[in-house]
Amino acid sequence: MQHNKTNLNLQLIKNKYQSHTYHLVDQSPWPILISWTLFFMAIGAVLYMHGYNNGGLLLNLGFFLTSAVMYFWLSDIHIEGSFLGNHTKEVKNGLMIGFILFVISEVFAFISVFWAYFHSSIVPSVEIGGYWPPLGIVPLNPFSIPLLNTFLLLSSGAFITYGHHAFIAGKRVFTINSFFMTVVLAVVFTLFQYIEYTDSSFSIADSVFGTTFYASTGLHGFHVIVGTIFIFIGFLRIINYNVTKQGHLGIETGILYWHFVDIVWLFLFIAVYFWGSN
Amino acid sequence: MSFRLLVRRTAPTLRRFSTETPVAGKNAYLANLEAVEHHAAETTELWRKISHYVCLPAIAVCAAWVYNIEMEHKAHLEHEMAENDGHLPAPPAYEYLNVRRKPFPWGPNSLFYNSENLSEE
Repeated sequence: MQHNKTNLNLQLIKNKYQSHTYHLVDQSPWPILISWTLFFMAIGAVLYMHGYNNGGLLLNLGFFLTSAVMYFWLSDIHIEGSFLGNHTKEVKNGLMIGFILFVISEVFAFISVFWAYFHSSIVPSVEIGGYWPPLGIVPLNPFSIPLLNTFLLLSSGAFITYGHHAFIAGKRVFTINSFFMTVVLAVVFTLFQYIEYTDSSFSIADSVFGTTFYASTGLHGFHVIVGTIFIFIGFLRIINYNVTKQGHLGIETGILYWHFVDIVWLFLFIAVYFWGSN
Repeated sequence: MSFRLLVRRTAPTLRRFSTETPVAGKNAYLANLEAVEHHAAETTELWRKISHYVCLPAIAVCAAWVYNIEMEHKAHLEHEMAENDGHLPAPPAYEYLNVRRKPFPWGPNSLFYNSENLSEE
């Protein structure tokens, strides 16, 4: 009798635990909701670009709602990791692998814009006079603001490396200072790019040169803004004691994204700014 | 039964899967954590030096140089404007420049249009 009761107690306790180290996620509304918000955003963009009424409104609404669902989904992940103990070593490994795959997909997006750029520039078509840059286009001096921007991005990469190691070493003041400097350098980069964009003598509508220039640097600039927000949120979470030395994937993924952005800029600087100018 | 109680009372509190339980002098997991933290302290110092003594001076030097270039460029543009009664000379009217096969959704000008910089667009 005693033996059976012990067995039952043991079973009741064992049923509360899983015999594997993975995370079987609870049901959540965020995936289906984000699919709808992304759909609104995409349709809104198309309607806006074709001149339909309220297309822009739908685009903005879709963007706002997507950001909102991202916030809720990511905060759920934070709760699952930091408070529910679901993020074992395997789970963290899987999350990082997933993010690396996402970065690889972003690399392919940039490959497509670089392809378009090289297709147009290596053999300039007869319609633009067979020259690159086309006649009438005055390209930006690569050894002016673009060079400064290169130093800004490389330095922000150095500062965030400093910050990441300071975080692991438990040096709070160094961590906060270096993450702050990273964000400052990133914002200054964006500001200089904005100045370049407004001061340039050619626009996106100035032949395929303008199109490929602004498509490539514009896609990169968008990624810089996203990366800056990513790092800034990591910075706020560090200040708020939201992360630990053993579990800070939100910081590490942000750093990986930022290094990716930096490397894309180096390719842009060499191929578009330097090789693509006179 | 008394023997069992005796064993229970004198058995060492060996919790086999606890990270605090020492094994052969030093717990391997804790030792690893300490090594990581120590290594991170050294690497922090390296990157602190790189960030402060290489990157920041490089930015300062480059900024000074670029400031010179841009001031020169501005003077050149003003000279061109003075020669061209107040505005920049128009770019050649090639059909591949300033293309508008379809208007922008937001109006006639490009998104970063700057009327001071471009001549007549």
